[in-house]
Amino acid sequence: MNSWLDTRRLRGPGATPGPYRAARHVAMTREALFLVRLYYAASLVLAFLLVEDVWASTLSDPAIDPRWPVFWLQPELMRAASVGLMIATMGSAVLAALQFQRRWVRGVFALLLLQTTALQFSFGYTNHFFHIWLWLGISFVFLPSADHQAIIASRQLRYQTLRVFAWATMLILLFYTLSGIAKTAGAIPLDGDSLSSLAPTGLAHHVVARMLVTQEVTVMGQLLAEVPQLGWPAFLAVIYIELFAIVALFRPVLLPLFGTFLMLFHMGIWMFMGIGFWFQPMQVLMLLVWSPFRPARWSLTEALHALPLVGASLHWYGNRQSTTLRAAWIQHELPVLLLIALLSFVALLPYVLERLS
Amino acid sequence: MRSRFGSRHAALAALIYCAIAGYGGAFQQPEVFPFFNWSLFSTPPKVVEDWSVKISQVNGRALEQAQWIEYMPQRFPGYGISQSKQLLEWGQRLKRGDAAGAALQRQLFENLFAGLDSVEYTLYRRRARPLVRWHTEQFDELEAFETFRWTRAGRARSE
Repeated sequence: MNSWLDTRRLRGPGATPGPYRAARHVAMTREALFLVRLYYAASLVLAFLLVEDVWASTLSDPAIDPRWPVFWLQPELMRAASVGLMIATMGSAVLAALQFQRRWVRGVFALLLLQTTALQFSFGYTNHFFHIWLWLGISFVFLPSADHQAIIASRQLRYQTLRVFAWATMLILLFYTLSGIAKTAGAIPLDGDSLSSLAPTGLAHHVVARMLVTQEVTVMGQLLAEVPQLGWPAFLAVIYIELFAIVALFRPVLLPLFGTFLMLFHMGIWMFMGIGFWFQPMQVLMLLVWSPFRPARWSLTEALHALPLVGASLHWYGNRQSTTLRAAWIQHELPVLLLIALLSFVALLPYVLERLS
Repeated sequence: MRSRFGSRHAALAALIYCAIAGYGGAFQQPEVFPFFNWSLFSTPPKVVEDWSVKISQVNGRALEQAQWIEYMPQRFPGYGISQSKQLLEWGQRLKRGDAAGAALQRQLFENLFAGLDSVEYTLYRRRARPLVRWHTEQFDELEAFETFRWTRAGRARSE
């Protein structure tokens, strides 16, 4: 197994990694390469959507506040430059769909995706529909530059492929964990205008505030406005899964479970808030639910035993004769809590400094 | 090609990402692109303070009653959550006394009026409890800030 996933202290109770088996390794690599192929096929669609959006923004020669990747864009040349950029982006997406085995092709696509996304956000606002896709594209540049048959035949190239895929998985899980860290930090409101993220009506306040701005009224949003406590369990579950998402990197049995939940979560966001995260469920499906690192035989019981904050207690309950609850927690939960604490410290420290200054 | 990057490098990269994203969220709002901190719907708003505009004239014709821009989706189909965040940015710059930044935000906001000849609008600061406003349409505070007149001709001249 890839050394990246060989972080034993974070593996959780009951995890017993098997010996290296070439057949399994080859199968995992094939799955990873299939998903890379799928990424570049979907990128073709995404590039058209992105370019369409940017084109609509640039048609009227708007005022511009360029993001750093498009620092070269002069206002007087904006329309010509942006047309050139959009044609290049679409061309690179087509080329990547045909020749994604070549690293330089993947590199050009990632660079142009960065440029076009930066242009999209140069008109005074930012959204985050394409960020994960962009980071996946940047990660995949590091895949071997070789035909797939050559990758399958070489143990070294197989390792490299799986390692890059593990980085991409780490990134997407890290993003969800960062979101969970922010929501967990929001449990302590810093001013009188905010509620705790753990408050029973927290989700209702988010949803109604959003509907008031967009005037896109959803059926579920209306329901939540009438019965604000209804969203509480769902919001607590979201905070839990997001916060501990990164743990699935070390406990691959969690990948399909967390992935399925996160797909439902994105669909739920649409039902409650009308935000169409169309690409996000697919990203989660590709990187988590269909992950090549998921166990060959998945079991819900094993997944429940691997759940952070829950698994150690379940493990202790099943092994009461040989271990104590305290020992089970120290062995299986403490490393997880330390990991989340480290990430939280690094991510939240700037906010503390900003408040102090 | 043999890659020399392993799990330690990946862990380091993750920490660097967290640090840049945290810095961007705290000091360079909204982010140091594309290092987003993924702080989405983190703190439920008990009271929402936002900035919006009331439209009073379009193409030289006065409306019977000035209307919030979010209630005019047919006239301003480009208005959405992104523009509301941009209005917030404009308002915060005005509050900070950042005249140049506020002028840029105004220009960026007025991109929304492309295709029209003229628009007259008033910028407001508003405070409301979301659930109360939802049920009663009442704001807790409403402060008119300034009235602006945008014209296509004027914009052409300024360019």
